[in-house]
Amino acid sequence: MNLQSNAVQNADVDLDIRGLRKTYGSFRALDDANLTVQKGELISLLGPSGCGKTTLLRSIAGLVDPTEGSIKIKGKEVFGIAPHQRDVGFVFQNYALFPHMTVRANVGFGLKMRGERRSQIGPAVDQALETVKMQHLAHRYPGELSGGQQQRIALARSIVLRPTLLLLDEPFAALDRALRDHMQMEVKALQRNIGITTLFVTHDQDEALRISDRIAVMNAGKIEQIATPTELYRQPRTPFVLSFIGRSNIFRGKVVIVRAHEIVVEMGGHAASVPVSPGADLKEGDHAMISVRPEHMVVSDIRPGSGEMGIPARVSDVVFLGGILELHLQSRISEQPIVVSRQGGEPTSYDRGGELWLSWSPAHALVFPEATSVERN
Amino acid sequence: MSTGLRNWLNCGFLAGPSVVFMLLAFVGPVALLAASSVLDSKEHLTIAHYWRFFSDPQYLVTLGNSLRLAFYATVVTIILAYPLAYAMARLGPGWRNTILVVTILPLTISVVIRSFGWQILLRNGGPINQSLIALGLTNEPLRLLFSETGVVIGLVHVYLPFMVLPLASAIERIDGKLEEAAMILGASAFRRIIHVIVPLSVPGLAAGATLVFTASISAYVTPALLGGEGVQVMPTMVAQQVLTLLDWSFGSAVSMILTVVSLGILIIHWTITARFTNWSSREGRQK
Repeated sequence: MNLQSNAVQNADVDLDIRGLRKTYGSFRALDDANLTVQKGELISLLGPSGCGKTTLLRSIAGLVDPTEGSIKIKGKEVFGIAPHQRDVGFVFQNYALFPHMTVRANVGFGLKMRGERRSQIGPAVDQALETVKMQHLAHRYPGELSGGQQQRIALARSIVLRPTLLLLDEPFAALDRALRDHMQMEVKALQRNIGITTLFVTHDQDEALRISDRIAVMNAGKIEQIATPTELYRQPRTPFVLSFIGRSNIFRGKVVIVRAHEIVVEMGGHAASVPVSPGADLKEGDHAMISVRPEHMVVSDIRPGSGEMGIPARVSDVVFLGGILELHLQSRISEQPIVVSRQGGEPTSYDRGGELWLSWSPAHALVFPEATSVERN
Repeated sequence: MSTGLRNWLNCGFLAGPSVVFMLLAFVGPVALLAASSVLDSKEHLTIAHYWRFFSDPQYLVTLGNSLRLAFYATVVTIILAYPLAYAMARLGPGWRNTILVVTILPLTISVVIRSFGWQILLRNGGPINQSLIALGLTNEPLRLLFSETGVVIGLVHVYLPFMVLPLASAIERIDGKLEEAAMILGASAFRRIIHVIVPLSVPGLAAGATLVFTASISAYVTPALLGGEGVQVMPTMVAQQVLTLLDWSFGSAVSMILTVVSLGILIIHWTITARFTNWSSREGRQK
């Protein structure tokens, strides 16, 4: 399934954002954000704090007025339109349930404000509560509910209005670890069952990987890449995306040869060949960085033959993580310890201080122009 | 000595001076008043003074005046205070301080001077009536001074801060996200106030209303100077009985009735607050 190419057919586009900007004085909270969301998709907006993800979500809801750009919900321009006329549901990080109203009154509030008849509100509220399995607590007040229960009520309060878009602002951040994992799966199942197009904001990459159909990685007000979790992991388009999704070993070096499908980078006296990545515009003599995921690193205790890749390294630590064994290696080609992960394996088969030879398949390496500041994850 | 007992002694030591002061300055005089209200000239127990009050329609009218004026003053302060309190709670610190200063400023001026000021503004040839006539809103001057209207204006002016401050602190504690949630769910600005802000600010509202009502019903200078002869209220009646007619016993009885009414208002305050905030007492009782 290629969701990117589906975007061309506009019939099933529930949300289309073009050139959205929001400035506060000289600060650009949103800088030319573009995003197209298909009907029924679950998209996460992922990024560090201050990257503009919450501003984007609040702009879609109408809680923030963007400086310029276009927001279309089901083809209808909503820029400048009041929040309740945008056909969106919004779940706040702290749920924002009305503390002085019972669960029933909270869920029925939107219908009441829309002037629905009481005879219609009752059954609709019952159905929404049933969807989130909370009928038995209908007469409680929010203060009597646990965090997970409050979140379900907040969801029910939004979906009872059958909005086109459901917007969730860091919905799991206030829950403890065990409950968070559970609620993530529950929300994903609920979203699939009712088929509602959903956007949610998170700063937690695991959360984004677990439940999203696609992830929009944001940085400094821009969307750096929108792709499926696997695509983001395998083909990150920028060093920022690379550093934000999963772990990587990063090696810095200089481009020595550029061929049609291959670039050779020299680092610390060793040459590594990598396939040409899309968007990596590199010339001979440029500074470049190569990244390889820990699970793609190959180690051998046999010295490689001439012409084969093999970078000498010393084992500085062996970390047993249950199903995974991690080797931390020191080598001339990297100042940081190089991490190698192995499925299974016995810790005793590696000695601290032992000599190994590192290599990787060129297909598993990515090359980027040297970025001045990339935080390791 | 146990820590509990030591804490008690420490608290007693700290609270001691104010307890002594309250006994001397409040409980003592009230007890003397109560005693004098139930004794006749031969120092025998009697309810004659209370009987006199409740059997004479003229006195009951005075009680009615007091209750009505205090009620009007409370209602008008609530209406004026809500927008101010909301602005104080939701706008930036600059606005907050401006409103605070403007609201509190009248309290820094003596109540007598303030009332004379209102006399100048409210009298028949005063600036307010002149403006109304100039604007064509009325043909002849409205009777503002020496009327109930004048008294209510004076009371509202003095006691507005007692409503604004508790309301603002109550509204400040309401999460702004609740208003956003209501907005997305389709509540207009007016309905957000009615369904979210007002119910959640009931504790502040009740505190403010109680302060304004009890202060208004026991106000003496404002009704005396702005109401004149025509507007008789309980405190002016007490003054008249005690200072002019030298009838201490009847004056004491009237004072006691006024005190009991104020206590009644306090009890109503507690009941309302408890009823409207029963949801908050359940907080934390999770299952």
